[in-house]
Amino acid sequence: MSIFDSLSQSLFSACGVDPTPVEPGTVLTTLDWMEQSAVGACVSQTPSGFYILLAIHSVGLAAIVGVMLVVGLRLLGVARGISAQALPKLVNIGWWGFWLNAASGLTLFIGEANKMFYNTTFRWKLFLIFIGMTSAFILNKSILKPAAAGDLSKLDSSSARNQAYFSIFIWLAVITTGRMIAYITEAGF
Amino acid sequence: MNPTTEFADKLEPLATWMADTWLGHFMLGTWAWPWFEVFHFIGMSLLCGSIIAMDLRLLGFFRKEISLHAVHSLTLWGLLGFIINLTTGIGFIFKGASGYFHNVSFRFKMYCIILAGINFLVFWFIVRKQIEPLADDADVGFFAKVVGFSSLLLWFLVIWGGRMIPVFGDG
Repeated sequence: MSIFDSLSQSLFSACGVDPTPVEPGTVLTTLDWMEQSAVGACVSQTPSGFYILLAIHSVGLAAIVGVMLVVGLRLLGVARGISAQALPKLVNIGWWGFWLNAASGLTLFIGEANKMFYNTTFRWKLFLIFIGMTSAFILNKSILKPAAAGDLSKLDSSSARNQAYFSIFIWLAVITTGRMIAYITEAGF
Repeated sequence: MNPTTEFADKLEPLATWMADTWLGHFMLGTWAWPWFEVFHFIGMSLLCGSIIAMDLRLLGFFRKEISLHAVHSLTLWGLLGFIINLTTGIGFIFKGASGYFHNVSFRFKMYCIILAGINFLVFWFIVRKQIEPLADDADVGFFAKVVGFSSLLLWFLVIWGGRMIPVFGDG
């Protein structure tokens, strides 16, 4: 028995979930394989496992969206006592939230692979997160880091304000699509 | 008999009344609940973003980068997030009051919010006065740090308790 198999078996028994019997010779789709794996089964078949992951996912969300909202508001003139040097550090806290949610989100996906993969709202959410992270990266590189290094005029530029509005809009859209996954369940793109 | 269940049972007439109000009926609409959820999460992010910056500063991080003055101006935005969540949260409760009152995780969340509220009042009426005369990059002292740490911990538990509500029944 491989290490993978024995790890799987101990996870199955730790969660108290029985593996789905598969007839020999059956070829599973990748999505089915994910759902029937020990991780997938423990996520989808133990209520506490599923909701603990969702709770972690919410904490990560609060960190990244919360921090990006504060950074956006600062660029729009709120809380000017937050110095230019603080802004890239706050964005770093947001990255921690992002990685926490990438990990918890991937684990949740394994548990509901078929449902999520074909869910249009989920695809929109992933697309918006990609736009949000890219815009955060550009904002950090073009405005926040130069400002932290001493070029304070960057913070009051119209580019900074436009990027702040865009960033706030995108992150609110990420939350909206993320929540709506549970309510708009149609498949297809 | 479980005393907390007994208390929730006593609230049953209130729960019935709530479900039959305008708001209770409104929350039954197809899109009312999902949009309230969206705004509940937006309020949560606004509240948590402000809290992360404020409390980490109180705890001594970013001392050179975030002035104590900024901590004050973020309070307003944190409060705005809280008000959004109070409003949307009341909407949820009006739809399913009985389930919520009997839900262990919901009650845990409410206790944590009450404690976080008291903690905020301690910040507003005591700590704020203590730190007002201090320099922008000053260390705030042990008491203010305890208040900052309690705030981070309690709001974390509020998110956790809220997310666990479905594990313990309706919600």
